[in-house]
Amino acid sequence: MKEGHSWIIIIGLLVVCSIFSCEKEKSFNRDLEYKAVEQTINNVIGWAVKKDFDLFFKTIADDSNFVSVTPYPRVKFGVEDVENDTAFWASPNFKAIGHELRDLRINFSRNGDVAWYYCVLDDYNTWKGQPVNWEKVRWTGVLEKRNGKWRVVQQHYSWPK
Amino acid sequence: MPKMIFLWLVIFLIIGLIISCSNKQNASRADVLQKERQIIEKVINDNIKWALYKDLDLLYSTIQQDSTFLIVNPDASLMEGFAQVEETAKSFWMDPRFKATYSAVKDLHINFAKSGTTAWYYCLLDDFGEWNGRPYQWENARWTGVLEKIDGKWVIRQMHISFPK
Repeated sequence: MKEGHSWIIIIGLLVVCSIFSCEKEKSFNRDLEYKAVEQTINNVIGWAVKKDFDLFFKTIADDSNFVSVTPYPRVKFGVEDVENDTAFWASPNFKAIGHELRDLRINFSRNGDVAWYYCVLDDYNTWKGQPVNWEKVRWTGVLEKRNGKWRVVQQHYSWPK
Repeated sequence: MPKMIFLWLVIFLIIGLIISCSNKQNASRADVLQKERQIIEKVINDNIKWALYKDLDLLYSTIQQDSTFLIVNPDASLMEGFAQVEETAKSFWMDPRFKATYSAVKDLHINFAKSGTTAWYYCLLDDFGEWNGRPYQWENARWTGVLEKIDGKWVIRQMHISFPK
């Protein structure tokens, strides 16, 4: 083995180490992340207009720890629970018209890997032509940045009592 | 040739060390998260049980004391910022007419961010008490929230309590 080869290996190892090191030191651009989080929150609801299930399942955590507290008695635990509801949304009887987020507030963790939000949601839909809207729903949630993409890991919808 | 063997030995040794460190890190992360889980469980409990003893310091120790702190209440109200918590404490919770009698946190689920410094929870909350002798009961309220570890202490940064329709 030539001495030159040893140096190549050592330099290679140093490059790999520096890549990992740089990954942790990426700076946090709040404005950019805010927009990305806002878009993700909108996608959690907005996918339904075009029935873009792929978009929907890319915006929520694809694991068994996902939690979704609905305004009704049901709480969904794990993405599997959400997947079981796709028949309802996929039905031609269900039509999403649009949604609006009001009073949106997003906060970030100190190291920028987690965000949480509060907003008031108006979500307009029909079922067999009849309105099945969610209006003035308080919506909170938590997102985590995973592999460079924000995903909702927990959400909670409610109407005031 | 012996140089080459030596070099490969060093490479295998480094790879072995990396794998070993990674396994140890995973094991120690699980241990650390288990301890953090217990601490967070106590913070969540303290955040509601302080009222039984009217221990305001305990309440304040469980929440982020700044303007971003937010509580979504089961009624139509929000509590926005620590200042509003202080106001409510003075005007309502510490009033002798308010008396907390019982609380329980049930079916608690706690999840951690990969970084381990942020966590979120879901649970069912029973919270009973009285105002001026008239009882109130929150039974099976859905309670979710976010905590962050700041300066070595877990504090709640946002919470949402609701009843199903």
